[in-house]
Amino acid sequence: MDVDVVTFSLKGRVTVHTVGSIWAEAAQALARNPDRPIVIDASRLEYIDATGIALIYDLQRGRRPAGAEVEIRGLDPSLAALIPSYDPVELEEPARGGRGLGAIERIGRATLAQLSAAARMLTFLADCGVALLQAIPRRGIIRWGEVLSVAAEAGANAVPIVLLIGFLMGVIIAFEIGLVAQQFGAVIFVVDGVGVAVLRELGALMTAIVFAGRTGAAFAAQIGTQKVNEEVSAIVTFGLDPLRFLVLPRLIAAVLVVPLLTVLADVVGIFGGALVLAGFNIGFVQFYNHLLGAVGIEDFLVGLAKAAIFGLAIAAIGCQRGLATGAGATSVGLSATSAVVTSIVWIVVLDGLFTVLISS
Amino acid sequence: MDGDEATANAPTTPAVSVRDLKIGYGSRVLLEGASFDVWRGEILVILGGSGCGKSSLMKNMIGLYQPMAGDVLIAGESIVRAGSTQRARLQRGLGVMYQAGALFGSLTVLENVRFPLDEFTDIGLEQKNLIARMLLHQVEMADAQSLMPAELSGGMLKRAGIARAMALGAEILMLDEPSAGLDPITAANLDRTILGLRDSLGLTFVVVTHELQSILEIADRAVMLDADARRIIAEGVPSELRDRSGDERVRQFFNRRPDAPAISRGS
Ligand SMILES: Nc1ncnc2c1ncn2[C@@H]1O[C@H](COP(=O)(O)OP(=O)(O)OP(=O)(O)O)[C@@H](O)[C@H]1O
Ligand SMILES: [Mg+2]
Repeated sequence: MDVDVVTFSLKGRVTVHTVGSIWAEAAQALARNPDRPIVIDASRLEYIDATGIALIYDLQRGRRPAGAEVEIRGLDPSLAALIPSYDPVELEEPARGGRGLGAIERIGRATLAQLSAAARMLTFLADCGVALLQAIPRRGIIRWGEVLSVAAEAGANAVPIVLLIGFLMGVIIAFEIGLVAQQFGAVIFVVDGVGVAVLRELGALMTAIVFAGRTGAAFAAQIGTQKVNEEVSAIVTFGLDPLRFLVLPRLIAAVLVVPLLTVLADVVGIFGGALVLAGFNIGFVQFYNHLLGAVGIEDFLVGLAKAAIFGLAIAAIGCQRGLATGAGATSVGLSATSAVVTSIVWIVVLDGLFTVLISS
Repeated sequence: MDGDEATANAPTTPAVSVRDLKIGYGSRVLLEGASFDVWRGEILVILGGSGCGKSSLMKNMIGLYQPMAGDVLIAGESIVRAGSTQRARLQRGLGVMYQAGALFGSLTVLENVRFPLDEFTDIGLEQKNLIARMLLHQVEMADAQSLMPAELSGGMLKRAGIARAMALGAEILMLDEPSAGLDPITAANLDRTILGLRDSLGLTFVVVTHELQSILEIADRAVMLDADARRIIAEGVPSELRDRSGDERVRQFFNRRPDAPAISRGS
C-alpha cells in the first residue's frame, strides 16, 4: 500500500445544508495534495442527497495528473449508480459568442433602435386610422359593449382622482399668482390667469397625465398579458383583427372619456381658484363676472380638443406597447412602464405643438 | 431501501398524512372526507378526470390554501394548523413542481434551479452551478441552461420545474402532471429518473398524472378522485385497480373507455 495516500472521509448526513463546508474542505484537501493519490472514504455515509452526489462527482472528475487519481471507496452501490458518468464538459455553460461593441457602434445601434421604434409607432397609428375609417361606415364592426366597459373603467373610476388633482391645481395656481399680484394690487387679474391656464392648458394636461398613469399603463398591461398568454395569437388565427378587436374600442373610449374628465377638472380647478380668491377679497359673483369677460368659449374648446388628442395618443401608445410585448411576465411590466413614459413625453410634445400652431 | 435509514426516521410516521380533508373554493366543495397516507420512499399517484380537484388537493397538501376542514401532516406535523414560520419550515422540506412549471421569468433556467440554493445554503457559486447543471442533466435540460423561461416549450418548462423542485434536497417531492405534454421517450426517462431517485435516495413522491403507462410503471399506490362523488373513489395498487376494481369508473379510467357514465368532468 502506498504510504503517500491521502484519505478524506465523508460521514454522517451529507445534505444541501451541510454540503457547503464539506465541499470546501474536500476541495482544499485536493488542492493541498496535487500530486498524491486521494482516497475518499464513503463507507460511513448515513444519508446523502442530490447535492452530495454532485460533491462526489465533482471530487472524482478528472483534472488530476496520473498517479494522483481520486478514488471513492465504500460507496453504497445504489448511490454509486447515481454518480453520473457523462462528460463534465457537457455540463459547462456553452461559451457565449459575440464580441464587445465599440462606443460608436453602440450609439449607432441605439439610434437605429429609437428611430425604428418611432417608425413602428407611426405605422401603428396609420394602421389604427385605416381600421377606424373602415369601421365607421359599417355597422357591427366596432364593439360598443367593449367601448362602454373600457370607458367605465378608464373614465368613471378615474373621476375621484381627477377631481382631487384638478381642484388642488386650481388652488395652487390661484394662490401662487395671487401672492405676487397682491403686491401690485392686481388681484382681480388672477381670475384671468386661473381661467386661461386651467381651461386652455392645465385641465387637459393634468387629466392626460393621470390618464396615462392609470389607463395607458393598464392598456399596455392588459394587451401585453393577452399577448404573453397567446390570446392575441388566438384572435389572429380566428381570422380576426387584433386592431379592431383590442385596440379600436380602447382608442374610441379614450377619445370620448379624456375630454369629459377634462371638463370636470376645468370646473373644479376654477372652483378651487375662486375659493382661494375669496380669501383675497374677491367674492364668487365678482369672480364669475370677471371670468366671463376674461375667457371665451374658444379657450374651453381648445382645452377639449387637446384632451381628445392626448387621449388618442395615450391609448394608441398603450395599445402599441401592449402588442409589442415580448415573451414572459417581465416584459409585461416593461411594456407598462414604457407606455407611461412614452405617453407623458408625447403629451408634452403635442401640447407644445398645439400651442405653437394655435398662436401662429 | 435496506432499512439503514429507519433509525433516522421513525418508520411509523407517514411522510404525508391527509386526514379527513375537505377542500373547495368559496362555498363550492371539490372533495370531502379525503384520508390517505404517503409512506416514506413511496410513490403515490393522484388520479382523476380533468377539473376534479387534483391540483387543488396538492395545493392544500403543501399548505398554500387553508382546507375547509381536516388536516394534513407532513412527517407528523400539521401544516394546516402551523404558524407561519413553522409552515415555512415544513414547506422547505417539500419540493413542488406546479402544473405550469412556475419558473421565475426574469431568471435563466440555470438561475431558476440555483435559486433555492442561493437563498438557503452557503455552497460556493461554482458548486451550486454544478449541482444545478446535474439536476438539469437529470431531466435532460442541460442544453437549455442559459435560456430564459419565455424561450422554453411547455414540456421544457415542466422539466426545469422538476429540477428546481429537487434543488433543496427535499425528501418529499410533489409533482403536478410532470409528464403531461412530454414525448413518450422523455416521459419514460422521467419515470426512470423518479424511480431511480426513490430507490437510491429514498425520496417520497406525490405525483398527479393521467399517463396510464407512467402510473403502472412508477406508482406504488394510487388514489382516484371523482368530481361528482367529491371524494376518493378508489385507493390501491394501480394494476389491481385496473384488473379488480369493483367500481365502473375506475375500470373505465384504466381501460381508457369513456363510454357510459365515465369519469365525470368538472362542471
Ligand atoms: N383559484 C381557483 N378559484 C376558484 N376555483 C378554482 C380555482 N382553481 C381551480 N378551481 C376550480 O376547481 C376545480 C378543480 O381544479 P383543479 O385545478 O384542482 O383541477 P385538476 O383536477 O387539477 O384538473 P386538471 O387535470 O385539468 O389539471 C375546477 O373545476 C376549477 O374550476
Ligand atoms: Mg391540475
